[in-house]
Amino acid sequence: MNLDVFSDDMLMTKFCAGDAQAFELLYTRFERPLYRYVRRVLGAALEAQVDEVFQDTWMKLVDNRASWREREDASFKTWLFMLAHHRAVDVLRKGGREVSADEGWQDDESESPWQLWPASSADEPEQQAFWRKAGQQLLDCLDGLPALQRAAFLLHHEDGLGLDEMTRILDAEFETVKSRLRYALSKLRACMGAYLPPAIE
Amino acid sequence: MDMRDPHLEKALQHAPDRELQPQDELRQRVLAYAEDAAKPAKPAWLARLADCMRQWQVTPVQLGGMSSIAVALLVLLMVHEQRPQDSEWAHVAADTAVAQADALQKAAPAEAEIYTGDQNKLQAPTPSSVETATSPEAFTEHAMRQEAESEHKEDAATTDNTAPVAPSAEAPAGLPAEQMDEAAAEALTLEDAPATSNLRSEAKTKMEALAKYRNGDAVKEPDEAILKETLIARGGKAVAERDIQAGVLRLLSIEGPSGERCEEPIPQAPQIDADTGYSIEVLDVCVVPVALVDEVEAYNQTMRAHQRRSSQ
Repeated sequence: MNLDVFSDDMLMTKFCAGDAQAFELLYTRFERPLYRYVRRVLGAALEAQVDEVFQDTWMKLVDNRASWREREDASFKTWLFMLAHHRAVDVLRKGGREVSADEGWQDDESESPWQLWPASSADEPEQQAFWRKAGQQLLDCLDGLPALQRAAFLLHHEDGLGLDEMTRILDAEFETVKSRLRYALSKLRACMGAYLPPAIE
Repeated sequence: MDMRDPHLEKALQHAPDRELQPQDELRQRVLAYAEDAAKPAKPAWLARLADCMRQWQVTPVQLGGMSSIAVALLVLLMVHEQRPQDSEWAHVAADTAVAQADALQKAAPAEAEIYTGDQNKLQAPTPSSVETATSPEAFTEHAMRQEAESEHKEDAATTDNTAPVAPSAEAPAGLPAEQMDEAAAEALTLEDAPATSNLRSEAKTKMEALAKYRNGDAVKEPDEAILKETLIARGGKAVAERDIQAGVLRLLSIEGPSGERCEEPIPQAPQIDADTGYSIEVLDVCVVPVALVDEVEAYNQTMRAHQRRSSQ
């Protein structure tokens, strides 16, 4: 049977019924996104614990699969990232990293330097080098953000989760999540502008 | 609500860690964990055992010790399984009876030859010593052999009275030795024929009785030898309880050797125990094993206790 046609939630349901192949396909689908998320949330300082958090997340999902049906309001993806986020926050706290700083940030979008960057939809070969450098710079900038703002930015931009789903994962009110995301964006914009010269004058 | 910044999103898509993935070992570990979990649940005791084994760091020395104990237990179990049970002992006794009958049948003409030739063969075959009978089977075999021998001796004695007698000191004077041997052989052969037939018939009867006993159709032992063997093997108390349950109420008595030699049992009138009113069965034993005495005592005690309980 070709399992590719099944949604994530259906695969998880099949796994709960004892289908190990369904889990393998789920793992394949989310292996890289989850690994990237954990690695980016933990940051460079806790890189050594990425594998541990990643593994613990999957194992916890397996162990708690019986409660999967109880979470009818959440998708598999939301549940998976919530487990990963909670485990990552535990590690961050134990590592002495700040996770609760939601300090304000005065955003002045009118002076954002990337307004002069190439359009985000542009995909010419000569611009690839620029975006790769921008990507590396963004990772450096993310390292400077408080963990919860970093998580909010990553969930929204990398994993495509909406604010409603993020409230479940981050276990916070809608407005709180929205504020964290706004702060994260402001800081990243400033950070990126300071390191990267505008590509287009 | 969408708050995505297209520039940052694009930069993120081009980040150098884009293609990073966990090592294959980590992947295998997670998948194996999920596969184990998806299997049907083990019984609780098996799961606990598996957990214990996982947590317990077993050293090679400990493993060796446990293996030795396991092997020893296995050997003990095998030895125990090979010990014949009561019913098997009865089976052995039955086989022995048949063998004895056959041997006697063959021995009759052979012994007739004895009288015609070698004087040394006139002596009865030396019975194997009961003291060497260490197992119930050996005890039974010896008892039955002894019984068969005594029967044959009786036949031989009868023959002695009627035949022209072996060439011994009592041989009538005047006849040539060769003629006398021929006459004795002829007389023995003639006289042994009905005796052998009787033995065969008795053996057959014994076999049938043993078969009934083995099948559970009869409770009472078909002969003394089996009763003695059963008493030693199962214990007097157990045999008495079995008999009580089957309605066989009796007491047992051991008749040992009188004097230095084992003598033929003298038939006696049935005896009745004055206290219980039960009949007394006499077990004739040439050499009395201590174990048999103890078990007969236990048997009688159990019977007497039953009688007391019944009369109250």
